[in-house]
Order: sequence, then C-alpha cells, then structure tokens
Amino acid sequence: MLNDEQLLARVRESGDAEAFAVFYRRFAEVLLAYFARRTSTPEVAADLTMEVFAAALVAAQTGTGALPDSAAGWLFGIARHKLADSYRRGEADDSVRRELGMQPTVLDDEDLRRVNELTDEGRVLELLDALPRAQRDAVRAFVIEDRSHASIASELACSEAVVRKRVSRGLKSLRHNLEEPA
Amino acid sequence: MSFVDRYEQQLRRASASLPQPASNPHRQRMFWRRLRRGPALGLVVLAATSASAVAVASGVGGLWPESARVTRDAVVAPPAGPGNLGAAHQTSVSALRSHLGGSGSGTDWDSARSFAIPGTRLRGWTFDQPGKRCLALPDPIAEGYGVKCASSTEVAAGEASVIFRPPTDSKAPNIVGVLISGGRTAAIETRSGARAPFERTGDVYVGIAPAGSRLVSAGRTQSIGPPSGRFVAPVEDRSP
Repeated sequence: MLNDEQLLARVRESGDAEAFAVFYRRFAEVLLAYFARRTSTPEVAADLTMEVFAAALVAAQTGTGALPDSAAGWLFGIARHKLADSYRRGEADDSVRRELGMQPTVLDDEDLRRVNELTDEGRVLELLDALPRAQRDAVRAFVIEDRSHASIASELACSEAVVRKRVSRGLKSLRHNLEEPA
Repeated sequence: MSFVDRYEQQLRRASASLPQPASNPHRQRMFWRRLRRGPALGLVVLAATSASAVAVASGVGGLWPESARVTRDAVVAPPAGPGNLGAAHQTSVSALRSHLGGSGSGTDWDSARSFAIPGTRLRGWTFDQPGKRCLALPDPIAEGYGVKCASSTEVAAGEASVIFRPPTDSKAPNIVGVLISGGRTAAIETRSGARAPFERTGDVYVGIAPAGSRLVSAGRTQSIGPPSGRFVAPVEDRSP
C-alpha cells in the first residue's frame, strides 16, 4: 500500500486520479472534523474541505515545486490558510472549486448527522487519547494547537522529521478509528 | 451516497480535466495564470467593501424597546423586568408589536419571523422597515429586546449586529447575532478554538459566545468582551 507521499507522487507523475481519490479518502473526514470544530455550520466546514482538496489536487497534479515531505502537514497547511482566509473574508473561498467546474456542497440529513458525529469533541478526544503517547502529543500540538513542526520538535527535543512522522502516523490511526462506529 | 462520496467523483472528473506538467507545459502555465486571477479580483472586492463600510457607518439606524436616549456606539442598560422567557412576544407577532409600541412604527409586521437562539431557550426576531432589515435579540435576563435596523449596504458590511453582555455576576450567556447577505458567513472565534453554538437561520447568524471571543462577519471583527451587564450596538443618536 502506497503511503501518502507516494500517492501524491503518482498524481504528480501521471495525473493518477485513483491515487488522489485514495489520498482524499484518507483525509476527508479528519479534515472535515477539523473545519467543523472551527466554523459555524456544517455547510461552511464542507465548503472549506472541498476547497482544500481542490487546491491540493491542482497543486499536486499541475504544480512545479517540490512535493512535500509530509503530505499530512502540507494538507493541514492548506487547511489553515483557507480557514484564516475565510475568517478574513467572512465567507469560504471557493475559487479553485469553481475554476475546476465542481458543484457546490449540498448536505442532506445523513451528511449533517455524520458531520455532527465528527464534531463530537468527546469522541475525538477519546480517540486521540487512545493513540500512543508520542503520536498523541504530536497530533494534539499540530492539529489542535495549530503549532508548527519546528516548534513541536523544539519542545519534544527531536527532529522535525520525527515530528512529521509522528503526526502522519497519528492522523492515520485517528482517521482509521473515526471510521469505526462509536 | 454521502457528500464525501459525491465529492470524490467530482475530484476524479476534475483530475481528468487538469493538464499534466510533463505533457503540456504551456497549458499548465495558462491554467495557473487563470487560477491566480481569481484571488486578485477577490481582494479588490474586499477592499471596496471595507471602504463602503467606512462611508456608510454614520447612516446606521436603531430601534429600541424603550425610548432610551442613545448615541453612536452607545451602551444602553436594558429595562428591568421579569425576563423574556415564555413571554408572548417571543412567538406572537401581535404581542411583539404591542411590546415594542411606538418604537416599532413603520415595521412591516407581515415580514416578522421568530427564530430559536442556539444554546438558549430564547427566541429572536427579524422584520423589515422601509429600506431596512431589522434584527431583534432578547435580553437574557430582563424583559426587552435589543433591536438593530440596517440598510442592505450596512448588512453587507457586517454592521447589523446585536450583542448582549450579561452582568459579571450572572450565569447568563453573551447573546450574539448578525444579519448577513449575499451568501456571506459569520463565525465566532473563541480563545480556545472550541466551537460556540452559533448557527445560521435565514439571513441571521445567531447564538451564544464565551467571554473574550470575537464575532467575525463580512471581514469585520468585533470583540465580544468580558461580561459587563450591558447591551452593545452601534447606533446613531435618534433622540429628539
């Protein structure tokens, strides 16, 4: 099974839509939960999630810069940028989604129920607590406290590469556990 | 099929339509150039909106449940009373009309709509006045409403907000609401990053906000501030 970075490499090399779909599946709900806990409605969270993946697809498939060392960190970096931009503008930016000709989000009752499940703070924290300590501390600092890899590495007295690996593995476990019924 | 599934299908189609870096560098450059034009236009629109907000600020109007003398950016103590919970004017248009009395003159009462305020058992109102849209939020402690009426320009600029700050010795929440237009959104930014009960109903975002949080709407940010026992709304002097 390809890791996250290898999936992005496939997208860059050959425009492999299947590889990006796998990448999307790995992070869609984790990212949706991230936005849902920071925005006012499930619709805004869904709009931002869509916009982040649209931007990630464009960057991965048509970008000319180097691909990221940490796909998770890269994706959440885009997410933070989009979130800050939405606060500043007072609305979710959807320029990339529109440019790609993708339809806007329409959530049905089942979607709303799922978003509410994902935003159940107790459940997320419970799953986070179930991670190995090193991964839990790294994910908590990176995703919940919005700290940089460098800052976390400094505190934990390890390299940034180690922090990236812990965040990546922690998010992988977290998203796997989120898919399990509560 | 969930929206996550539907979106995956859209991503697959989008991926197929995107240029490949190795296969067509010119097409790829043109694509990036087209994408970059979008945000640039967005910034121009945002700047124009901010300028409008400054220009129209003096035209903001207000309507009050009591004939209180107010000035722009005034802080007005709500009238004492038995509170709004369960009051007829929470859900009855005729009772609201009677409660507001002469302050509500000119209101199109057919347009009045009552809505629930997330995180509370109270309800607020929206209604129209000539050339203006009004938002009425209930005092969480005493009987009465804080009402803000604003033009479409003011609504678009995020200026049509009402914020109630209960006294420091009260456990009542800060009640916050803002009118929106044009598909815009509003949000409460909290210090902890936790989500406040703040939701959209019609053209209103409303809910409760913890002390120290901020209301962000149409690029405008307002501090909710610590509890103060005061009702805050920027309004012009309407006294005789």
